[in-house]
Amino acid sequence: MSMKSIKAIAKVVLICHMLLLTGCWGSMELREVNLVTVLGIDSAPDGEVEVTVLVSVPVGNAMSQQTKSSVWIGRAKGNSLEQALNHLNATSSKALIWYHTQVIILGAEAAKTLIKEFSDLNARNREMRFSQSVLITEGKASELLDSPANVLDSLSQEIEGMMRNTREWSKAYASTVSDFLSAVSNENADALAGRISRVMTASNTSSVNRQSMQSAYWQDREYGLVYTEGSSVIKNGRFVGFLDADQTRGCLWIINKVKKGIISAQIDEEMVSLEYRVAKAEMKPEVSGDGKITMNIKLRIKGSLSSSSDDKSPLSLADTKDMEAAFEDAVRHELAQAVEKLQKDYAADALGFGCVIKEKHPKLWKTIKADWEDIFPNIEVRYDVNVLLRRFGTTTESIIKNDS
Amino acid sequence: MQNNEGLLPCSTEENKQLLRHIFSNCCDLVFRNFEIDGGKTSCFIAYINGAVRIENISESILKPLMSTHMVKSDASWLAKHIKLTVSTVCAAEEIKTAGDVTDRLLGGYCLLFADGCPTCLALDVEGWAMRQTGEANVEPTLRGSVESFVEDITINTSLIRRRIKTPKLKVERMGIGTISKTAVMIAYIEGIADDIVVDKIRSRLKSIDADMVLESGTIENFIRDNPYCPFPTIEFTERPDLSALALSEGRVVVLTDNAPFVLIAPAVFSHFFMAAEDAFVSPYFTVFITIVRGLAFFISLLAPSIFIAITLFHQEMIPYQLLETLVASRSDLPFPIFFEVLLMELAFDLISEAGERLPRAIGSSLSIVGAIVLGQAAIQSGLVSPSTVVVVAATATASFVNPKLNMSRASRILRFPFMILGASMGLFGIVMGGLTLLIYMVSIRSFGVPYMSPFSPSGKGDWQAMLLRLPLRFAPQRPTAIQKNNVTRVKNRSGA
Repeated sequence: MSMKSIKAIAKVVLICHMLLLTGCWGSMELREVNLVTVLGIDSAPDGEVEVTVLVSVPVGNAMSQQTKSSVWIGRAKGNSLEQALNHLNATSSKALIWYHTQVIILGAEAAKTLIKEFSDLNARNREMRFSQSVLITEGKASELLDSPANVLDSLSQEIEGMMRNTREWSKAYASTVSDFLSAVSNENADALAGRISRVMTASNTSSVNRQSMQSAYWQDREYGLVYTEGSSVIKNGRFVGFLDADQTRGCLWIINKVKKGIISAQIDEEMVSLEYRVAKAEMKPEVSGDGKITMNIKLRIKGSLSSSSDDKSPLSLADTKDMEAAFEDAVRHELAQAVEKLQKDYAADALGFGCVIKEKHPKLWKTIKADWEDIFPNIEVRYDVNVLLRRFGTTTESIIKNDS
Repeated sequence: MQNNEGLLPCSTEENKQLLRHIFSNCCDLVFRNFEIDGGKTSCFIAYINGAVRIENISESILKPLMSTHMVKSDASWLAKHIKLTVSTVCAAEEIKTAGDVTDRLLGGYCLLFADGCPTCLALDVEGWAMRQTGEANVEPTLRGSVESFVEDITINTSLIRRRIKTPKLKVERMGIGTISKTAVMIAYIEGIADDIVVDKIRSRLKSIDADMVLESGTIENFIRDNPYCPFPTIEFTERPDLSALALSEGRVVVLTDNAPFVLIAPAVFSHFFMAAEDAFVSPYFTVFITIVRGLAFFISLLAPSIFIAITLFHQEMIPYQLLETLVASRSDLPFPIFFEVLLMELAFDLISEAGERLPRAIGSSLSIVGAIVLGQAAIQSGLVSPSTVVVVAATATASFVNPKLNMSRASRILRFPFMILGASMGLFGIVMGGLTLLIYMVSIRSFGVPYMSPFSPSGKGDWQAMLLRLPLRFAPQRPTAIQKNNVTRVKNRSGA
């Protein structure tokens, strides 16, 4: 055999090897897939794990592009999370793909026992995206996922929209998988996660879906309405409890996650409101001679007046100062109650005080790290809130005067 | 009987015999006998019917000869006297051998024989049936000359000469083809074109040993650097203004007789993304439209393969809403996506080819069939999904954007290997295929000029002159990759 033909054969063999790197077996026809949009995880009473998935099954035909995706609710149980997910295939008609899962909901029980397993699954699995939202619900995730979508086509789209909206009002915490994983893996601090709830209501809304649903259900039956508000606290890899809306914002101020929203304060029995746009918080630990730690939280808020009282004119410097002071009080109150809840009720350092102390006083941190759980609830926190009213909208005075 | 190489006999009868022998069974050879010198000397003319202009023969040859009183003096009388004083034909030469006689006859000359003369006179009365200058159909532009080359090479050279009025424009002639004897001309501007390139083209043309040269495409394939390269390395054009522009850039134009297309060499990759009018419009638009053309090339080359790869291997890259629509539209289709795209691509190629071959009158009915049957009906019958039709249509449209036909054909051919790569290995396969193609492309040359210049090797000053065809004011230098003799085109850029 000549050198030339050996070379040619070698080239062919090498190219064939390249085919082994990837190949036709990795491919999947689009008509063979179902899109998982929401994953709910619960722990079953007998120690098993129960998963509930909302799966979008796009139906349509070539003539009319897409009629409407129907949603398949899949349920499966297993000894472990991974196994339960695997058992879903028993009832699924097509291959389940996880790239487009938007929301993961943990039932309260599961959040207490399964967070480690859940984090591992997310970190190792390459189909899961780190941009998915992680939410914890009071009851069982499976019950929550039975709720019908209110307006949009699917519940997942609605929840995703709610998560997007959190930046408009900042009383709910939208945590993504990447936030969640980095928070629970941080050994110097505890973590916050999102919260989702359901109310049973018989109230009617005017959406088309709601009407169609009502005709399908009993007329006077109550149905679940899903909403996201507040947040949940995770301590040492276990879910310990929820924070309500105001407490959540109190926390979000401190960890710099507040984007936009309204805060109201009372002046002379009248409400004034501030629409904040910029908020910047800073934590500074202070260690006194006897080793007592004080946390100074400095918060700077800039915003515009969105409603004012009669006798306070934003044109007057003194009145502006008054209003700013009122807002500062309101914010300070919010901060204090949030921190108190974390310190006294949960003893969970979800705000990352530990991290700040580790940064500023690494030597001290080494000595107190082991006892941090006991030290944290007793740390004194000082608040320095500064509100700057920069704009007052398009009018200076209220449209309707009370006295007139 | 003398052979072709021998000298001509003196007597008219023998000459006639000789011609009849060479052109036996050629009914288009015409003889016309007449007498001069008061009937003392018999003469005849011979010509190929159709190759000459009959009016010229009667007006400029027969009339002066037969109406002038002449006295035959000696053997060289014919050549000297008639050539100098009698015939009013522009080009006339004396012919001594039988070989020349056949050449001239076939070249459209009229031959004049006189009894007793050892030579004959060849008079140029060439007048083949030819169309005069036409309108550019293959490369139409909105702005600029609408003239196009025609089959007659002398008209073609004149069209170039009219645009470049300098004796430095050299036009060298050679005959190629053992039976076609086609005139091929090399045009270049001395002092601007690179001598090495001109020498290369000259020697490659000389080494062509073919019997028939019908079109410039025949020559293109003989003189190309890489005959198997899928990309064109020689530009062709039907536009005299584009040829003149190319000449002024230091490139060489090869004209072929009987071909309304001339070749321009060297041509690099980016030359195939320039249209004639680019140099005449606003520079912003030139930049914009050149980018669009580049984009169109990539769409035409890669869109189907990327579509296949992403839907088969990388569903996570498709936005959720789109994926939902795609899954829905594909949920009851019978074929795998690769087969479906292949089907539609072939259908498009069928329409396109049928459109090119059909007489224009039937063409419109084809477009109806193509648009309705292969677009709407294919979807409604559940054979293909609408998204596939969109991708194929975008690909087809993009492949028509390229101003140079041979480059868009290259992308049409290469599309299929890429589709196979995309279907078997996903984006990885497409990237590997693209890299292989790129490696190959940087390795090829067009008459010594690297095909991917000015990208690789990157020519510092060549970007504005080679990447796109900017108006002259904005591209004041000739690309150095093509020639280094004479770089400055515009001395004072400030204009007014």
